[in-house]
Amino acid sequence: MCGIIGYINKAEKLSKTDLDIPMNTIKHRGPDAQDTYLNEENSLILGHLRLSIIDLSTSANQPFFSSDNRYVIIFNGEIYNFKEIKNDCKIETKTNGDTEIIIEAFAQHGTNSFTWLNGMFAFAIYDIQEQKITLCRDRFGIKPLFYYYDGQRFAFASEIKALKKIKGLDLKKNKDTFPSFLHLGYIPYPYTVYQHIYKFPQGAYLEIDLKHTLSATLEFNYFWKLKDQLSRHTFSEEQAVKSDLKNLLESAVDKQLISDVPIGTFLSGGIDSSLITVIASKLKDTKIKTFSVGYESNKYNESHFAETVAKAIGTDHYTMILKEDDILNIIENIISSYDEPYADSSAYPTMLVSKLAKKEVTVTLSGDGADELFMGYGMYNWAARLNNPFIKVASPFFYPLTQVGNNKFKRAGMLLNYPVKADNIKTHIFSQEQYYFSEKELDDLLVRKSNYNVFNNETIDCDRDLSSREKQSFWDISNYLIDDLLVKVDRASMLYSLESRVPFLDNHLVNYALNIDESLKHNSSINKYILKEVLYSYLPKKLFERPKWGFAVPISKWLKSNLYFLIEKYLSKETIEKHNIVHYWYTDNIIKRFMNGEEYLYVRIWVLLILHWWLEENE
Amino acid sequence: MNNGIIKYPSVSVVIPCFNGEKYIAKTINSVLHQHYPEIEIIIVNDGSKDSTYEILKSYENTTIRIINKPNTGVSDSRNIGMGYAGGAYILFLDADDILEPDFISKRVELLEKDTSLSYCTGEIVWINELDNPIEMPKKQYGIYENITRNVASFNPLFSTCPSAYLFRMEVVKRKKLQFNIRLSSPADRYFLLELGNEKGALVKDGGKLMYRINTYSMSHHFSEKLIFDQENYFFSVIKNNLVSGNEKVIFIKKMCYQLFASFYRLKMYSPSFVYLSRYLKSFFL
Repeated sequence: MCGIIGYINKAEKLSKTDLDIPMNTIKHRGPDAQDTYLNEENSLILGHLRLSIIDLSTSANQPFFSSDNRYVIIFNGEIYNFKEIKNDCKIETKTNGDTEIIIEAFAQHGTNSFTWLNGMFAFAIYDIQEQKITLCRDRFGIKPLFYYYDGQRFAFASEIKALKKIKGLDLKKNKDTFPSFLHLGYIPYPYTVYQHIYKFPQGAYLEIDLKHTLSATLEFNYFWKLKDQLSRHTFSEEQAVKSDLKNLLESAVDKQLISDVPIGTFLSGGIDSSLITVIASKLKDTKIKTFSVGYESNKYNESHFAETVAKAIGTDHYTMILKEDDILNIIENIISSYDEPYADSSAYPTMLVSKLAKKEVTVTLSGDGADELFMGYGMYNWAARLNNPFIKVASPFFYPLTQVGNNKFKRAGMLLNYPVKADNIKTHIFSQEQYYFSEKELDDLLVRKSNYNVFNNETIDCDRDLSSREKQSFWDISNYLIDDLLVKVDRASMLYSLESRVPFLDNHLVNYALNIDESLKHNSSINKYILKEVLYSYLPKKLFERPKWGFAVPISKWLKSNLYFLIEKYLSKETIEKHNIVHYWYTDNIIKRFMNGEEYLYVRIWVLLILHWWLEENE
Repeated sequence: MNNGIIKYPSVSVVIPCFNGEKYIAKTINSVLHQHYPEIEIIIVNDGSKDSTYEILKSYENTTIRIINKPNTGVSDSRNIGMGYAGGAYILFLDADDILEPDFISKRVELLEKDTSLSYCTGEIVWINELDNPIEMPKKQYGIYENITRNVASFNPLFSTCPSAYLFRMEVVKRKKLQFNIRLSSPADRYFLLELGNEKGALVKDGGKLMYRINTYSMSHHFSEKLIFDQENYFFSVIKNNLVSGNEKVIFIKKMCYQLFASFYRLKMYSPSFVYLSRYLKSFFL
């Protein structure tokens, strides 16, 4: 796992040291080695920072040249099936790593080879002979890739912070992204908080010919699209699906256990991480190490669940009990690590568990992706409910009634308050399930009326007639998972030079899971039904009979105590009016309501706070 | 070689091969023994796990190109092979079929004579594992003018096996034809439908294809996956408007009946009922 960076500038001659400063900003991604490549024409420079996982020798350092010296690659990620590709393509190698396989397969087969890669990756290959660079990112955007383009200069990097340090780039902020941030808690693809910096699309590649002038618009080619995997018919036979799924999971975990360094798992004690852990432990001869976090306060402490599960599986288990002070120390990191405003508070425990894990291992497996692929969230039930024509018609009458009830009713009411545009139902459900600002609230909150087109709500055009639950979960897979969850895991783990892998996003497993019938994902009100059935074939059911919790953080409690100073500092009248993005009276009103007991408002306060904090830091 | 052709246009033969150790040598030899001089052979080894690679290796030379790649299925392999093809004509040969020595020369002769033709095909002899003919389908001449109708109506006298066809490369390129990688066994039918109203012809004497029927081969094994494949084929054809008018009505009727019967046989009654009702409805289209 590594950091990559590249810069194309045909107007002025580049020199080999031009990327030294930008590369220093992402040194945490690859502390083991670093080097750059400058082409003969001095128009392109590539930089690589290496964290050694597979083939620890220096011969595997990058930038790496193909055997015929025609191609050079910089690569961040892991290819789990690289030995199979080597064998199938009859590639003769001089290293034992996956980098060489990517570049040789590309030399043989060109961009056709991208579909064969099973893993997480972002890479750039430069064809020295043709002066052409090809950039590529994995199917889910597990590995980050950002690019800068202003029509003349093109740059790309694993993190935005590196792009910011390249000399002379235009870093104008994109204020149009703030409404989507307040609505979703992250800035959705393809935008970033900077006008000329974009997220590279997942499952896509881009070719740039350096012999010609750069074109005004960039043309991406897709080698994988979710909608193409959706078949007309779904797998609905329970026993068959259960056994297929078990095989696919075991094969996915087995592939991802490949490594020349110690490996462990994040274990929260929930369904997904327990399943990954029990399979990993079954496949590995040695005891595996597991990591979890807990909190001092009992309500949020699920670490004893993790301990019980760890004991049942028989792992070396490590727990870290968090105090409020620990969070305070790390909270500063979120602004600098995530580069953009990012409000998902589960990033903090993920950072801490990564810090804990790094002391023992270099690679961990995590359970991300399962909730989206197997319908683990309550919001899928809301998707089904809100699609009910009766509720649609009656909601204007229900809504006022819910506003006089208790907090639970008020929250339900927020969901019934349909968005301005009927098409925006998917982001509406997501946003309200996560307690962010709804579109209607944004109308009152924002000083400048916003342009809602930044919300990505496109419908999936496929052969299957999708149910509202499926539509919502596929929206999640293509948006929430990519722009929020995977970003969280990558940045949190890489901050401590820890590689995190996501077995649920194995190519074969995903293609299969997308075509499992909804009745097996959501069965008689049990979420993730089939996945739980698979888990119970390894571990007793009684270990998991409790409500879903996840890595929740007691932010609402802390905002009233130790973290209250943040509200005073960043949501003061002075700060808010200085940036002039939201109305102060509105903000003041929700802070007061929150202090008076409307707990669910804490996320709205948090997202406002992060935005202003970020603005203060990036003036 | 027959008289009439002075300059020989080159022919590319693309052979996708997955675990084909049993017959691949026979197939390649039948191409090498063609009475035609300008042939390039592109063999796409689709991630075979048996001794296919060792066999192929012994054939590799300037006119036989071996492409090794991971297993991604027959359609993808044909497309990849097509990418390497430089001939004026292209043949997609299955790795267990055998060509008669005049297979290519007869076809090229026909296509060179009449440049309005986009493809041609010929007689097929079914053979078993031991190369013995098992059944001779009746021949029907003159049906190749309307390819869409024959494919859409599942005309049993019309073979959709790509091995029997020689396509004009210019047409394949102009129409950007590709095998649909989402389909496995119905990909051939889909490819022919994409040809649309291109004109074809039939070689009447000789130039036969020996088409191997394996008792365990993919297209004869009845399974859930196969039906889903058929279903995907059905919807892709409709969605991309590959059939229209009268042909569309025939196609929907045939597909619905077939899907109804297949689901019924697998005891999947609810989709089977759906297709039965669509089938009945199709009489009122």
